[in-house]
Amino acid sequence: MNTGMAIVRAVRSGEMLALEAAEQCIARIEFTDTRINAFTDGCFERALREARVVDAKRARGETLPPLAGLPYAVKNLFDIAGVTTRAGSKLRNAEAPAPADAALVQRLRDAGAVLFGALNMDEFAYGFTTENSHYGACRNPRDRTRTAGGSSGGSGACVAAGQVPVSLGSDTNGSIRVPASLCGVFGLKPTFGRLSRRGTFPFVASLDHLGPLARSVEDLAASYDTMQGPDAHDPGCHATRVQPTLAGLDAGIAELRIGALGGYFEDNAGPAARQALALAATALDAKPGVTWPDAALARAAAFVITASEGGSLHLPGLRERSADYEPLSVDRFIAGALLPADWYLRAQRFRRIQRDQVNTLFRDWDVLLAPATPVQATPLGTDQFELNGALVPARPSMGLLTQPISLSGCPVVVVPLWPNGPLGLPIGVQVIAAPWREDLALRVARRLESSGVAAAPVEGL
Amino acid sequence: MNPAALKREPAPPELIAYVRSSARLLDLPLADAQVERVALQLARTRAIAAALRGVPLAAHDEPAEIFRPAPFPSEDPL
Repeated sequence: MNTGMAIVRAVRSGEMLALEAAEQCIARIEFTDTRINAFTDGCFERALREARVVDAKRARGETLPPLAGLPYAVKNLFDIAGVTTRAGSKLRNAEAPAPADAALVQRLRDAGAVLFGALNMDEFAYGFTTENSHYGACRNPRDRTRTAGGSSGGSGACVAAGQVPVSLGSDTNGSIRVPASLCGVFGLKPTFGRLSRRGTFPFVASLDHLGPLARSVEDLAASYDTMQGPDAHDPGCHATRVQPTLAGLDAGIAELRIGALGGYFEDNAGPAARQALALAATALDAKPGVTWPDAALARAAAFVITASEGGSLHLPGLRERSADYEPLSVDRFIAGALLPADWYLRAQRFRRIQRDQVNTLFRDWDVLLAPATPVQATPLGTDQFELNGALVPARPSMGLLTQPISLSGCPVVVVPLWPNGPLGLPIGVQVIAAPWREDLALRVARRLESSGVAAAPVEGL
Repeated sequence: MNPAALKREPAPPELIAYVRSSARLLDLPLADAQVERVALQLARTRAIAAALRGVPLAAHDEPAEIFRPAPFPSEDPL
């Protein structure tokens, strides 16, 4: 499987038909997905139709749009016209099919990308392991006995398995970054409010982000650029114009001030995570020991906001059909619905203070590095893992290092490293920039990729 | 202590009582076994939220997102 933009270039040059690329993806999905369980709903007829449209345009001599022929799939909380948006839950199976594509799917479609279907996830995005009791666990292509991470587990697994080179996920507390880390692929959580969320099933309005996962940094930047743009119909979309990143990807990092986060981010990182951070920091000549302001409090605030808003959103469903919810998360949803208002409001008030501290920090730094997950992928069914001498609950703890960054809304690119060698398990490093500076995070990620420190090979299955 | 490093202990009685009464207030039916499990979740959240109680907040420290009735007009009315 080529990268997404390699396919786009091949289609543009006539070296390959978009239809050929689509048929290869379908064959790969059919060959591998019984073992990975990344897809919940294929839309292969649509993919073939979209690919034929691209080929017909080229045959007529028309200029092809920027992503013509690029194969991708989306977490199943994105609306796909004609497909029921399950959001990982059987509660939504009786809902009518979506009447239109989500805003980001519309933008990718208009750019000539080819959609293959909807991807497995934790129910209603509340989890970090994609152990979904309704649709089955998503398995990590790097080791199928282990979790693919979550909640966008299918989005990470489908890229690692070579089913499609690009996918879309959502990230509230780390749900793009955790699967990118555990599956060994690149992932981008943009600035909060950068990309439109219209046409996706929400989880936590105060924290929900959308973004791509991909085999290469170029694929991330190209798909991200295409999805940018203001959206007056999404109250959470704060961007007022497009700020392209692709053209500047190879601008280099010579003038950038790069640091590595210590303190909380060291204390909550296992040996492999520390090793991955050291590899990236050495390659970038990053200064160690930078302190993220009030990281533990930021994680606490994100946890409380998530519990409260998520619980409130689902309270009507919990009253009527709590037995139909995912057993692994229903009690958390209910507990969240019962939180005292003071806990929630304190978290939101702290968030404003902490945002100012983070923005002050970025006066001294362009990019900061941190591990993405405390540990590599754990076996499916793991309830606890050991973290620096303490047993911690496995499912919530996978987000210990991503949640503090979610609260501030900073953009983050996760790059996959292989501290135990290419036959070992991957683990990601977060490349964090100031709000609205995705360009810097992508440039640094590109340097790690081009220098061979980070890579997202397709897993042989 | 790492807030995630919690021991599995029975839910405190005051949290059991809180879950029962607040669920009743919200018309949320819960079986006894579920009350216990929800209270354990709430205990975990309480431990995490406890750190935020120590954050000094002044009266003017407002929540992060403030309601806007409409975008501020770019031009004054005629």
